[in-house]
Amino acid sequence: MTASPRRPRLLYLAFYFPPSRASGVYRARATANHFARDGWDVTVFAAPLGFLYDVIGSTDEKLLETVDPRITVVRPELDTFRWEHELQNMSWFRGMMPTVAKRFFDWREAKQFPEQYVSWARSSVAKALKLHRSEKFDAVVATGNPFAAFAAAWAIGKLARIPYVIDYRDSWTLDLFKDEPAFPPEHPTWKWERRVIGKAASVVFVNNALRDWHAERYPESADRMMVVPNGWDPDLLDVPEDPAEPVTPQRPLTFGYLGTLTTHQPIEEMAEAFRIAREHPLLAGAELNIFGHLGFFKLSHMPLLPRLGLDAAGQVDPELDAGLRLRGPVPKTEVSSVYAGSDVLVFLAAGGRYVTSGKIFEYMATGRPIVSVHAPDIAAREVLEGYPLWFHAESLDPEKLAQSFVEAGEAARRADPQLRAAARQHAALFERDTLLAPLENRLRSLVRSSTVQEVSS
Amino acid sequence: MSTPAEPAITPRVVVIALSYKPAWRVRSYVRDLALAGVAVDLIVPESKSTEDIELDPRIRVHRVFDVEAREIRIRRIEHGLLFNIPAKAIGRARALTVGRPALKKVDAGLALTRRAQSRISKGIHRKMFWPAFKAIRPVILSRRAEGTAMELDLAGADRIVAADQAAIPLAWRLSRRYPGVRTTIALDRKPYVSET
Repeated sequence: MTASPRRPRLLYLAFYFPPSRASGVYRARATANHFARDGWDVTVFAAPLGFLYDVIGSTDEKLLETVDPRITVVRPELDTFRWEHELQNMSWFRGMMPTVAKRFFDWREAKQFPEQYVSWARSSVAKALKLHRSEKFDAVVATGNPFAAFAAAWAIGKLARIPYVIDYRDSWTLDLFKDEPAFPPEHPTWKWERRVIGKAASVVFVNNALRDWHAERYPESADRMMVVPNGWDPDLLDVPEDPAEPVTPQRPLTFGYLGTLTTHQPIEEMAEAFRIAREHPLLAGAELNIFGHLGFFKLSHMPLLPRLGLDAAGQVDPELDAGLRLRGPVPKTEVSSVYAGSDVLVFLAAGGRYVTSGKIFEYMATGRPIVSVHAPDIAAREVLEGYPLWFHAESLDPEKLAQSFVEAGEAARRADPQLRAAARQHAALFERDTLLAPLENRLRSLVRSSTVQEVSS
Repeated sequence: MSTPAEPAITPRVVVIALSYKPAWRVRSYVRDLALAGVAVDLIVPESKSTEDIELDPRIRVHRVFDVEAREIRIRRIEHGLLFNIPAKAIGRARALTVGRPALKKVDAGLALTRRAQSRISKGIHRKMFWPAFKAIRPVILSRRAEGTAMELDLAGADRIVAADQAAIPLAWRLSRRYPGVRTTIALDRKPYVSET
């Protein structure tokens, strides 16, 4: 037993953190909670509330309640120059010299870091060093995007001489939809990526494909790269009960897709495959309910509707009806009931070999049959392999996809309890805490034993 | 007995667009507002560069200048120093040399000087004067256009919109003068145009 009660102290740079409900916030929330539960004194640097409420406008107060109360959340300043629209709030300089002010702002940003959140990173570094002077941090973890957080972690690590880890929650220099570099070779982003990866104690990716892509580019850092898949959060998902009885032959099957539909996804293939599959007696009268937004913007639903076989009002067009039904967005609290009401889940995903999608982990947690509609070499394969109720075709050919729909429907009607148990068992491998444990171990091994001692041994 | 309906209040938006020609996004913004029944006042810099623009007839267009280049002193001075005075001086000198065989070489030299001067003047105008003028133009316009704007009963406007970079100083000054009127750079249709 040691005398020192000091807990290892972690600084976590997570711009998107509750109450934000950006898609990446769940990983950040889970990471902070995991470290706090494992005995770390966690300080999170997150986006200012004014930015979340007034600029982004996408928040969820309930999510804030799920943050471990032992975590200290600090919100360094962000220069909202580019998001400020109200003249009343603008300074004399910006109001009277708009061209000069904008040039100065762009120049100052560009010379620091090629991203619009650089001012937040700058304030984070200043704040971190101030806090570090009063009580030392032992390690820094930064999650991107924004990737200015990586630069901040690098600067803090250098100035405070503490190890830092960068977590590629999202891709930075690789365009996931085109499978090619996202920046031209001379772009300053490359210099920054080399710099932050070069000095990082660990570099974390969400799947092996992304890890390999980066390992190939930065071979000298490959041995410090690791994979922490996204996983699912048992505290946010009430796993629906298995149906007590198999689906009767009289009741039409219900297929469900949950998430935002985008133009990148193979929507036509899905609609056509479902139309073909419905001709099979097992799927007679089956419906595919789509829960979620159509696109990210106000008018982005317009080009998507005809692709779904729906008219401009989102209603079924009898001539084009493929059995797809728009059910609209669902609050997080009602997600479980959507899963409970779906016999089969449809995993429609864009992108190729580097895309995992966070949704697939929740899908697996339900123990329901899953039909894949995506490019066959998608990175999500590596988590779906071994899930006994996964039905997939080796291409996006509607005939083959339709066969997968039929097979999934058959499995749903059979509702084999052993298969469902095996499916849940597979999903348990991807519970967030299980996946975060290696990262926590890695961080613990990095913390200098001379500065931190275990609370008890 | 039925109660007479309240007279509907037409929202009024003052849009300031001080680039030489209002950009397409500005024209489409004012058109959408006008179609939605909003009373739109559009302030543009001059008649010369904006008279051929097709706008919804319901949009009231207010012009600050007839020809900006003539009415802003610094532009007149610049034009005089760089173009008019040298051209006149060389022109007068050439009046003495043209047609005189004895001064043929001098005349050729003057013609060459004229061409060189024209090229240098254009270079100075484009590379030195224009970038500097572009930076101060919004401030000059904010002073000159304030009178035009003040004639529009701004206190009764729903919002004032600075539709381009050049319009910001004027809108900023108006935002100080009329703190009760929302003054913004966002071309936001939402309050007026239905989403369907």
